[in-house]
Amino acid sequence: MLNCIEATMELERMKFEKTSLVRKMSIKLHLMMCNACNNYRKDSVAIDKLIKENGMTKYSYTQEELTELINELK
Amino acid sequence: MKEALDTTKMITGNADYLLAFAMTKLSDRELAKDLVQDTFVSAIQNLDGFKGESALRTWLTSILNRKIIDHWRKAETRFTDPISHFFKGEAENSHWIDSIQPQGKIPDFELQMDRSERHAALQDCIDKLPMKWSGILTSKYLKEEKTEFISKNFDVTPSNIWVILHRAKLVLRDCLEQKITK
Repeated sequence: MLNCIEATMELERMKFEKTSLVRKMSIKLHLMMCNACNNYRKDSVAIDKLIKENGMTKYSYTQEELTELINELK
Repeated sequence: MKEALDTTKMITGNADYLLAFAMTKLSDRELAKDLVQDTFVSAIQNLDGFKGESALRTWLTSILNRKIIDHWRKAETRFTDPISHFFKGEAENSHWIDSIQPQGKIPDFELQMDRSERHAALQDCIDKLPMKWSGILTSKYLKEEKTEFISKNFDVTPSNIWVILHRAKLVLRDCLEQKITK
């Protein structure tokens, strides 16, 4: 039986590495019984999305920045 | 010294000075504002403690300074040992500490904040991480670099990458959650 520290760490690891079926099942089982870790899982996915979205914007202008740039160059 | 009891005067006369003082020690303006507010709250609750021996401003500054040091201390334990900051109990039974259990609110970021607010919040929280952690985090999640590459680049063993990523995520998640509940 996984504890909360292991379960949350496994959640991070399994995004990048192959995880055995047995391991996957024990993570799932933990999440079914542990509301806090299940919330962690939801948050973690949302954070990944946020990081990716943020990373991309560094290399492109926002609409406001672009408008500003255009106005300045007029 | 009766003037000290006029709280509005106390605030308007010292707020800018205290904020400037806090900003010399902290880079985060929102945090500095919070601590200045806490300082005024403490001061108003403890007016008896002000004996008029020192100038009001000196007294307020000393309260603020204590708050800043307390903040650093808390922030530090969070980094040096996030596991014991977030979890309690012995290995097998370890569980989230009740008061900081994840609420699952981060997905609401998209609804509650616009794009630039979200990114400012994220950047602020990433900036608070130790450099090595944020470096590993962005290499892995953004550039999707291979474990071996990160291991070499940051001088960590492959299994330690997971330990660091996990800790960075715990701290980052907590920081973001605090921004949404504010």
